[in-house]
Amino acid sequence: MNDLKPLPKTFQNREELAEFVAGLAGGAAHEEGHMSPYMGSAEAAQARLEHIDPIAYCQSRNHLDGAVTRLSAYIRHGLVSLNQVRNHALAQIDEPKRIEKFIQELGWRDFWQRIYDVRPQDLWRDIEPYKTGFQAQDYADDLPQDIQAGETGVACLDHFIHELTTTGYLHNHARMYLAAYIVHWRRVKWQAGATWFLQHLIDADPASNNLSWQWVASTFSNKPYFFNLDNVEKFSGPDVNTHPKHNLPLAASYEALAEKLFPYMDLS
Amino acid sequence: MSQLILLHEDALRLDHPVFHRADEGAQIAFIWDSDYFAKNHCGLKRQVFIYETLCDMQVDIYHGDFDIVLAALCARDDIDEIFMPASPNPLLKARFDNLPENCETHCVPDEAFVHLDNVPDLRRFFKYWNKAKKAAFKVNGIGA
Repeated sequence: MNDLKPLPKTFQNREELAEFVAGLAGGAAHEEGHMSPYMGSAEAAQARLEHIDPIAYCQSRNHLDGAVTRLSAYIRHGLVSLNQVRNHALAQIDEPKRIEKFIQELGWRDFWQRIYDVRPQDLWRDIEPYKTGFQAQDYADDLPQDIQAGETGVACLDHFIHELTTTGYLHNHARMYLAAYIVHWRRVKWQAGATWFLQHLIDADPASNNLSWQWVASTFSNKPYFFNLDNVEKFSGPDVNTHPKHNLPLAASYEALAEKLFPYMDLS
Repeated sequence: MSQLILLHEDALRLDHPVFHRADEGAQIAFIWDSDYFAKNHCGLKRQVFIYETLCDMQVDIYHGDFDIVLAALCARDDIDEIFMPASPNPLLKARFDNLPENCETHCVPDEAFVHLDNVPDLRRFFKYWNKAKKAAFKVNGIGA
């Protein structure tokens, strides 16, 4: 018989709370550390919202050190609604057109949620065939150990993996790099990567996450997304190692990479 | 007879519309079901984030199997009306569908990002965006 005693709500500090939750989680304590730098509270959510700069976001969002909002964990768990974020952004500017990309990114999230609501089965199956020249059965089912451990030998990607597993957060562009590497360079099914992201991301949302993986993989887009080292260098800050010697698989032109990664792709 | 607001991980804020639908003074609870978190691939950092938020909200958290805890709550507090925030998550939808039959139940959606007259084409983002864009630039997403 359940005695219905509520769990404690007061702790000495975050570490004590995290230890308590780890105890409830039992087997989930395999992660590197229990806490994300992102605090779960209405005050923290409001503080993030107050600091958004939608115009700067539109100018720099693709840069890993750009003016992104870092609101994703708060939106994902409903601490702020998309409506509140949009209204707050509109109140800051005179001409809505200046923040078009910002509003559109909120639209992407609404789009993913609508698909989840009406076609939840699409979250885990290939919505369309791969457009890479390969079939689904050509991709491995499991995520290789070196990727999980952040020991791929590709310096920039290992940096992103470490950031993901220790903080629970990753800039969207870095998520795309990792997803493309896993699916196209290592030829692993997107589902394996999507599950891994869900286990680590503090903002893990099955719709945004899985459908974005499908977009990269090309099972929910018209072509595969891939990148090269020049692109990483362009959008990374100085703390990411983009030396070609330490990132050999990425150090090539787009044409050379396309030939190597997608030798059977129909380019017509 | 009393009301219960049954929160879940998608709706962790006190101005969610579910709080306006229920009477003031309705009991608020979150059932911490470890099996649910495992099924949703929810990592420890995210669980800490959720727990921390619930503490901040001063919501009562009960640990255990969802159905067992809910049945015990309803029996203990004579619950006859349950309010749940809506969610696209099939596991949460199933929970709503299986709430105790002797309770009146309400599934309350969050405020919309855009209000659209017709169901948009969801095959590609830009098909959706062509329908949603006008409203998306309006306060409260109204006025396409």
